[in-house]
Amino acid sequence: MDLQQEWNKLQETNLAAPPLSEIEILEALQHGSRAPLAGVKRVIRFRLYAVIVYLLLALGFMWYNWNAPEKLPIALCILLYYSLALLFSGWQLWHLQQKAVVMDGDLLHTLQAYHKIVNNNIRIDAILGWFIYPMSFALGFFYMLVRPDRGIVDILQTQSFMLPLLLGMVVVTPLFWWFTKLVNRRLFGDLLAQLEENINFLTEQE
Amino acid sequence: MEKEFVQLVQQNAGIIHKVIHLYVDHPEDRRDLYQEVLLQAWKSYAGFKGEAAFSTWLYRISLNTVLTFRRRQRIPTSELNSQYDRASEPLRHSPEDSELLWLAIKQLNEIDRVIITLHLDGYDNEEIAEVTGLNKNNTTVRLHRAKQNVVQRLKNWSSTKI
Repeated sequence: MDLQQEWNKLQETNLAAPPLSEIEILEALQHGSRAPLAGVKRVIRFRLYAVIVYLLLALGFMWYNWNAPEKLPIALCILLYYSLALLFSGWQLWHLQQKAVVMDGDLLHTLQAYHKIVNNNIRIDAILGWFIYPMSFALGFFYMLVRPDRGIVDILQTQSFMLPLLLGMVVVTPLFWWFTKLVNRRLFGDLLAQLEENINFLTEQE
Repeated sequence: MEKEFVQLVQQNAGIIHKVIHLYVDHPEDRRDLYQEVLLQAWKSYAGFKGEAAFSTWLYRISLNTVLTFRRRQRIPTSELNSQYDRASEPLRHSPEDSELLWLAIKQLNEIDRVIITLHLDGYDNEEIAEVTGLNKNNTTVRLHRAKQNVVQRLKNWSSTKI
């Protein structure tokens, strides 16, 4: 069989592209991207919105406890904490916008760049899981226990309070870390495996 | 600029169609990818200097977009029947040689598919290396192996034909 001849025949039959109208092209340009990188951006944007909601809640707490000064330091901590989370997520999103993958480069470099960006963001998500959730849990815990007659120092010195806090953090931290990993694996696991396989194949020396 | 882009894409729509069909079997994925390739091509079009032919440039965009897109893992329904995979079973009808060639190419790994497709489309080894990022020697070796692989499959299938 002559491969070239059969290939040419294929181009005229099974592989012949249907005509593409101008309207179809212009319509496609109006759609948002469905590429995985757009998915990564959506995840970060979702976190950013969640942080904004928490920040507003923290502001509400501040306002609500204005007449309970013993709670204000904790409420302020929560506010600062979520302000930092807001800044971080905003920076991450901005950074991702700046690092757009060039899609007209060669295949190997495009796959490597894509893999790096997706993988780094998943890693950042996992690291955040170790800080955000236990910290939120601890702050919420202190907030709940602080009373006019019981300050933070008193709580820290009371063993019966510290034990549930530590136990709670021991449970909450791995639970959310696992949850973050599970979500990311579902969203990007197949893609990363697919990218790795092709990168390995392209970088193997013959 | 938009008009010029539309015209160039219309003239080279076969490239997008071919690359998508080379990797994607699911009709929904194909539709999504078609839109995505057009979108990525439009986003990159401002940087197109005309150093390479538009067709080569569009080949790159199509390949990069398809191979970085998360595809559904489903069994193809519209393609030739997967019975051809099992060389021990005879074929129930005699497909065209060109169809068998397509099927043999589709059974290669994803990178070999690009290499042999570019070769059959008339790109030389240097151009294939530029599109894939492989070095020239590796390209030559892989192309040779991919061709051997395709020929061997075709031989196996033709020997099992009724």
